[in-house]
Amino acid sequence: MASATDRFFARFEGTGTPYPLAIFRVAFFVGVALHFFPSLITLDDAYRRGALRSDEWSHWLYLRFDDLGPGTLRLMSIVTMLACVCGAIGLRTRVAAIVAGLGVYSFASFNGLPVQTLALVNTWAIFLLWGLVGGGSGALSVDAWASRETPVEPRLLPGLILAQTLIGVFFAGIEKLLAGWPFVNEMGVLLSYPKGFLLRDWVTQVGLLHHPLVTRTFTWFTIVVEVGAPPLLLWKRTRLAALIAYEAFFLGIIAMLEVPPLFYCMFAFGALLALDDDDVSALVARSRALRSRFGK
Amino acid sequence: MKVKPRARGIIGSVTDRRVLVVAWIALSVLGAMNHTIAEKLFGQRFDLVLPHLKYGHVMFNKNLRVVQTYEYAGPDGVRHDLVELVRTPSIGYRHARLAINVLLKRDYLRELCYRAYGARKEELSFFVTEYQVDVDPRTPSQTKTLVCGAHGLRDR
Repeated sequence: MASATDRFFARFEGTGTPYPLAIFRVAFFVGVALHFFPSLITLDDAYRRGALRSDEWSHWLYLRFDDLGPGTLRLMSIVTMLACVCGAIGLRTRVAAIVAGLGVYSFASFNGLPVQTLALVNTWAIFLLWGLVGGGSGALSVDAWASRETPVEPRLLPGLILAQTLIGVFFAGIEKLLAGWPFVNEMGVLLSYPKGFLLRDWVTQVGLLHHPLVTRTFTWFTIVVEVGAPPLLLWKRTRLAALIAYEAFFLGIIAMLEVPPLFYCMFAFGALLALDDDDVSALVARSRALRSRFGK
Repeated sequence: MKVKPRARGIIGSVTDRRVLVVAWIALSVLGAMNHTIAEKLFGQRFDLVLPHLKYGHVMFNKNLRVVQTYEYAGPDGVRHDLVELVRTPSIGYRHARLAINVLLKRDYLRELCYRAYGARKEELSFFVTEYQVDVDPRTPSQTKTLVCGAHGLRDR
């Protein structure tokens, strides 16, 4: 029988189905592209000489910005965008992650204004992990198509990305508890914001969403999911229920609040890495059964 | 058929991998606690060097009670969303980005004005509407009009 230590590390060792990480890879790099490409394409707006800038990441890079000419910046932006595309299609994913990570980190350091800071905290962690560990091209990738080997994926990278994601969600819940969320109906404040601020327009128009009963329910749902889902996703018996609640929560966030798509891509797809080989096989079998039942 | 893991990272042996896992998780937890418990216990945060440990895991934990929305009008007087003057698009969060940028840098409105006047060469009015959401979230508590022209952004 495996020791407790071996059971703990099992999620990070050996190999498994490559599909959850492949789906995450596509979502993550597409999210990074949606987040950064607008400012990398319209480079002369936020990254022109004399532009108003905000120092939020590397102070050293922030200071170096003035030494770079427009040609260098344009070259950096093109290389960064190409690396993001290579990451999304799974072409030399590890190199793509290193180049894309360094590129977007540099641009975010040059000026934090065109990219929302808090969506990026987890992004740096994932790029760092990808560069250190490698992987992610086991399926749905150019590399996999070219090599024609049976697709498997070492568990180290998906295990670490999952840990990073769940720690982020769990401590976001802890921060809310410490901020006194259960007693102040903070979602009531958030959902009462006027049109043109942080809410999607449709949310400001649906009166039911501003009722104290509804907002208090959202407040508690947020705390329960953020604190409860991370541990429950790791336990096989509760995984599916936790995953449904977790996905509904992040779908609710992106549907109601103006948060960057990158935020959704990282957190919603990150939880799929909790699925093990048995879960994926069961889901595939269930979807096949459903399709045959409806005659497709 | 040959079965081969595709990833070949720098992490070779089982021990190396386990050390990495423990170190990564410990650092992530430490980073999270740096922004919660450390601040309460020691009254300060510590510099943990790595970029993802810099700001903690904050997702709407404390929300503003006083918020502002922004509009502008040209010579025809028709009001438009101020985000229309921001040249760099932000997919899916343009209002939030504008609001956060103004919060981070009060000069952001001046920058927008400078860029907009440079491109249009016509005077614009900027409208800043303030709401005290825990008093009355539907009725503005204050509206301020600013003039954006050749002399920059100034009060009307």
